[in-house]
Amino acid sequence: MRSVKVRGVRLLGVEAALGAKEVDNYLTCKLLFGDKAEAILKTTGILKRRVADEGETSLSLCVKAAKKLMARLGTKPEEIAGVVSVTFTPRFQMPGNAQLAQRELGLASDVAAIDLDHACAGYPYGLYVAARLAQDLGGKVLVLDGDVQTRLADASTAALLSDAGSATLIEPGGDEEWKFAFWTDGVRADDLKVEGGKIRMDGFGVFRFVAGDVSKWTEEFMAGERVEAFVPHQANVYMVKELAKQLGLEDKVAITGHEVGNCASASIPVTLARTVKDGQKRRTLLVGFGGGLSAAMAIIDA
Amino acid sequence: MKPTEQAFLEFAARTLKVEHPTLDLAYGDVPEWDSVMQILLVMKFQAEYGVDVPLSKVPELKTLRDFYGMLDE
Repeated sequence: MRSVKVRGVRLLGVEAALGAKEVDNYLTCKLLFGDKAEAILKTTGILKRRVADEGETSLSLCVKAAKKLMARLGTKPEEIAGVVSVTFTPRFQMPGNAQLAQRELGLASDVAAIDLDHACAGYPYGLYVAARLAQDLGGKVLVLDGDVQTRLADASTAALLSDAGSATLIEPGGDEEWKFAFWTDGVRADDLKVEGGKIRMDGFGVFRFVAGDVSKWTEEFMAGERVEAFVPHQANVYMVKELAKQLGLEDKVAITGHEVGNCASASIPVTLARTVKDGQKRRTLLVGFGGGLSAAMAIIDA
Repeated sequence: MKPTEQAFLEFAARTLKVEHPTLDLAYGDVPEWDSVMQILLVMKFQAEYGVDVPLSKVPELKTLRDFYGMLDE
């Protein structure tokens, strides 16, 4: 497995903005699956989900999170040298969310605005691009990761999906070393895709990918590394807990899927926003996986 | 102690909600055994027989015979 290290960047903070409506997932399951509702709840572990209001978009949720983060950290718009957006549900096909965020956040005109089209594996990709950008530009970079995906749900995915946006701020400096690795298996692209305006998923195909390949690659990626916290994509609470057990990280895993559902790639920063404590950094393993099929991993100080 | 084949099949019938399954019944053979039921079957199998099924093993459990065979390990 090829991996890459970036030395000399640091995380300043993470904030999240969830879709406005909190949904009792039992009611969704009962409506869609009748007597099978309890089985669905038990196997997914998702008790509540968040759904965007009509006016909310991936852009508006990310901008809301970014404003909250910048206010908390006292960061001025002109300090931001780059903005990286990660989403597969952009506000418009063109312009991208990163360009629109420049306007919405009042960032300088010379900001580097980059859009990454990625689903659930996207957050480590966004962090990697942002880390490189921060070093090359010598300034702070925002990662905006969010999706409004419940509008793409059908009966097979509705009990899993949530909407959320997030903002992560990093800056160059210090002596932290972040490690990244990426994996893609396009042969299995049909296992999870958007087609005809709906997310189509072969649930067992994706499960097989996580149980076999993602688990194996993560073991290889973290071999010899110190890991103090584990924040995986919150695809399904059962699967996440079992993945943690397989990796020997069951006492270090952060779980938010039961409370907020599967927020696509934003599920990692949504979880970080709840677990990162200022001034108490831990070597944190991040693992995203999903459409592609693809996976991306990082070990950062968070 | 390993349960009899009959006792295991009764457990499978209760869990999958299918009548008279055989050890050759496989994932996808009946609509009741879908990806959700696969996970539920694993969870109930672990609880019923006190067996630990590692995540990497779950996709390999394709028939009831595969599950029953795990009780030999």
